[in-house]
Amino acid sequence: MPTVNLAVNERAFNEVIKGLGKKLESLPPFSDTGSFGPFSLRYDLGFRLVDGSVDLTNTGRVHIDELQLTYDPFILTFGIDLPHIHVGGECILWIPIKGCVLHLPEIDIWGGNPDITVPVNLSHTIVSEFSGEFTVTTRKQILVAKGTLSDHQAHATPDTSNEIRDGFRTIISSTLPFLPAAQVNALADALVPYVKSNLADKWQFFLHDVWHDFDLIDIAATAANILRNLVDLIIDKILAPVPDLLKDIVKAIISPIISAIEAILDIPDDILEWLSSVLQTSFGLLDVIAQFIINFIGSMVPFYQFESNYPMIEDSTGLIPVLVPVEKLAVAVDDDELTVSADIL
Amino acid sequence: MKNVLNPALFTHREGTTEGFNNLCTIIHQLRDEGIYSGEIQRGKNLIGNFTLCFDKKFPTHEVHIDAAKFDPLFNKESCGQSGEQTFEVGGQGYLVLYTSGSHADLRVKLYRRDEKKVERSYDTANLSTGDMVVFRLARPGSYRVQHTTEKHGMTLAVRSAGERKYPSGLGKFPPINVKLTPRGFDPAQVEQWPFQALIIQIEIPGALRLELRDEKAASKKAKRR
Repeated sequence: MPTVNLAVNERAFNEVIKGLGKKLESLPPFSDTGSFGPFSLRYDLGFRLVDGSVDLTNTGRVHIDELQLTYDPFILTFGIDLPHIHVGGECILWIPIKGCVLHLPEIDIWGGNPDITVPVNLSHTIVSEFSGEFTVTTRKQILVAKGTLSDHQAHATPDTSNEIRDGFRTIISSTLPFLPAAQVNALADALVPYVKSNLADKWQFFLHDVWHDFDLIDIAATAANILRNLVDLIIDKILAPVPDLLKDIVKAIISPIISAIEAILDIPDDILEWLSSVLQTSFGLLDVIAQFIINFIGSMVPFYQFESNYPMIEDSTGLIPVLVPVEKLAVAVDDDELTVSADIL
Repeated sequence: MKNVLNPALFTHREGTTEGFNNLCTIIHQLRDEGIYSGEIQRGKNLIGNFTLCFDKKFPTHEVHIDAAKFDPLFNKESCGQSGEQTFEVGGQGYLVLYTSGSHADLRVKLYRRDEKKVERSYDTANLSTGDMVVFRLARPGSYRVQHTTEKHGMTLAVRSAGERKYPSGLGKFPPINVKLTPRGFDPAQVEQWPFQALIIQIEIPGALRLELRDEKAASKKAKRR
């Protein structure tokens, strides 16, 4: 049985990573709200790929090395529903048997419904890093839209169906369920050109996740300080309209609330770990981003594809091309390249 | 971010019972059971009416009437309920009149209604013997409380913590009691913390005026300690 070998070097993989980076930048910011103890927390986030590389290894795996993401915009908004605090209400006349018959009026310290939101701008201050190892998996794409077309007809017919687009929409909406439908569709539409061509069956090569690691690795000192002093920021916001002379007085009155906020927002010195924990616990955000990357390279955009009836000879003079069926693929990865061996039928 | 703190707390520095503001609460004890109609004025403008029913058999000894609740603009901003139009009080018959807003120049008049005529029975601008006036001040400083016609006066010092912290129980300290008798205020000098209530038992009719004499006196005193 004759065989054919195809070789793909690291460049092809890096092109896919570049494509991922471009798509991340084109994503409009998305947001979600979650709870964090007695506080609410909301993020508004967009992200960009800054750096990273793909290495082929002699273990047969593809290694993604230190794919760095930075976040812009990244607004964390803390919401606090403050309990009511009153001054007054003292009993000033107490009669035996009858009890208290006269109280002073109670005055609410807060002006209305006491809730505040404090946005913290962390844009361009956080860096995450994604690393992982992947094996190469192959999949044969057979489009329903091909129908009863012959191989030659399918080779010559552009895919004008929405099959690939609809598949992407399904994957994206299940990976990023908080993304509005319009954004899901926009992202899917942007990815389709990487894959769509004609109606011919195709062998597609994806990267299948063996292990991955995704962590926040760096936070700018300015951002770390803001978070470390978050309680002071909250108190300053509450006290902003108070004349300076009276600030300490109001602080004394609301001291139970200050103590409660300090206890709950007990931000440790390791800001990065705290932020990582907050984003992961409240939103599973890091898992979501990691899963998006994995789905992108694992089931949406193949790093390489070719027609399973391979066009050995294309003719531009109008003669039909020579298509050779390619089956029984075997994939090998070493330091230099990925090699695909296949039987030609 | 919207203003969370009640801005009315910091609006006024002085006041008078002839046209009261949120520094001042006036407490009047009704004697005669019956139906009363009340008017709430702000300056020369009438901002609201209410009906008050006093029957000693009713279970509550006090009724609190917040003049601010009769102002539709205040109610819209504070998302509060609109002022009630009918009140009831029983037992000891105490009427507690105050404002939770930043309104000033407030005056409440009560008219006793019976079968034959309506006559004015009470006016906050002219305090009666037996009334109580409560001042609750936020700003440290030296104040003077003056009877408007009898020349009796007292000094009130609201402490500043200075370099130290204010006590954590601020706003919950027990009130300080003073009497205004024909001989004058007793005691005539009082010192208290911010937001601590000063209750003046009125034994001569008339009106009281509160003046801020020296806002810095309290902080100077605190530094000297």
